[in-house]
Amino acid sequence: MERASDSFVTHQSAAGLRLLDANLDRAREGLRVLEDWCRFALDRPDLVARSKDLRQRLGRQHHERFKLARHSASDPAAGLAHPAQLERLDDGAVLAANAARVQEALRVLEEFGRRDEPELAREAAAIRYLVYDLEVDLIQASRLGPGRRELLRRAHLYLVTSPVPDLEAVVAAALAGGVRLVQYRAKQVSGPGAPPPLDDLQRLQQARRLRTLCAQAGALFLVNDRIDIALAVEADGVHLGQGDLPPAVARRLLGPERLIGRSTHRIEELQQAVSDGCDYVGVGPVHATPTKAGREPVGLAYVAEAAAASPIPWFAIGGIDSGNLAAVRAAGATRVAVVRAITEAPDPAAAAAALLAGLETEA
Amino acid sequence: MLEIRVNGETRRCAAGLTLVEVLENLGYRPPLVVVEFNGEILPRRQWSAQAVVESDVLEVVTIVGGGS
Repeated sequence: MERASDSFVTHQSAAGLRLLDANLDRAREGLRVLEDWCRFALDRPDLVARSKDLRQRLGRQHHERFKLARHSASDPAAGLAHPAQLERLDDGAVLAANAARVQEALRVLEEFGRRDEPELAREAAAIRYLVYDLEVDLIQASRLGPGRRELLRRAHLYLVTSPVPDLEAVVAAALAGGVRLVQYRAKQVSGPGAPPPLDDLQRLQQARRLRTLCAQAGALFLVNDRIDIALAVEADGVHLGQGDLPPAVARRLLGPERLIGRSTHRIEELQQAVSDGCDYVGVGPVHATPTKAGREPVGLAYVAEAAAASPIPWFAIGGIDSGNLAAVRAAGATRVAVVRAITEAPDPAAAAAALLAGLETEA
Repeated sequence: MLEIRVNGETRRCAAGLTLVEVLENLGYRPPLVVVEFNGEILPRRQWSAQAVVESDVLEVVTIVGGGS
């Protein structure tokens, strides 16, 4: 079959070209299924844009010479639906199957393209990794896994960030150490040696990167105080201090699905948070802490009160570390939130693992 | 303070509220949802008269997608 137009002549067999063509189609069709799920079921323009971008990148590799080798009429498998395809009724199975279909097709393109179509093979490999990330975000957004409240219930160690250099590396290490609940707190830290304050664009970018890290680790990501940033990065919710917007306002802005947490310093504030519909509360500061300079510590008494009274998950917070964890547990806490114990630890992953171990042992 | 079930999850709300008040407190926008209340679809006009009590079960479905 002579083609005058294409200057780049491949000595590949027609079968090889048909294989590349079929897998390019398979990958693009699978991406199309994911894209429509993002558009119609999730209403997530950001996820639609990502899958569309991948589909178009593949499209640019779908050269004419591949298509010309196609004659689906004689393709033995054309139109054959595998029995499993017919049973794919629930959304989770449809998503997983199509994501897998895309990844398999890209893998074939990578393997067979390597010799004669190096650019296609490179693109296929790059896109395959992006599809993994997309699938994680898609599952997270589709809430096919356990709901946010179930994930919250399971979390016993809560990392609240502080503006330390290389924060993303610290959070990644903490996630590797087992943390599954992270709050991005970008409050001004004044005083000597404090890092320069971030502007909102920097906070947004940092929050977005941390959000992706948490999504990939299956961890909840909350934002302190800033409902706007939380919505902008699709956070799992917000944490409100007593001086921040009231929970009822946050709930109207965030809707029913996202989590709202509240700091409390005495039992009346805890009860108020519960009746305000908060999903969890912080209890503290148990010990004096520079994170809350000037705030009187409430000590272990309030921890004991919370243990007796709180119907919702609650996290003891304030100067807690592996050294004083046992006492906090003895006062009745089964969940703790920490800042410096992880963010300023020489080895954040080990610090997280040690705290988790300390929480698992019976008080 | 009551415990109720919403879309399969335990949620808390103040006692003595009507269904439409509970929906708003939970962050739903009443005009945009359909509610199955204790197993039956409840017509919207009854929401402001319907009291919500301990362990009531709600299935709340958002019917209007946002624009994209």
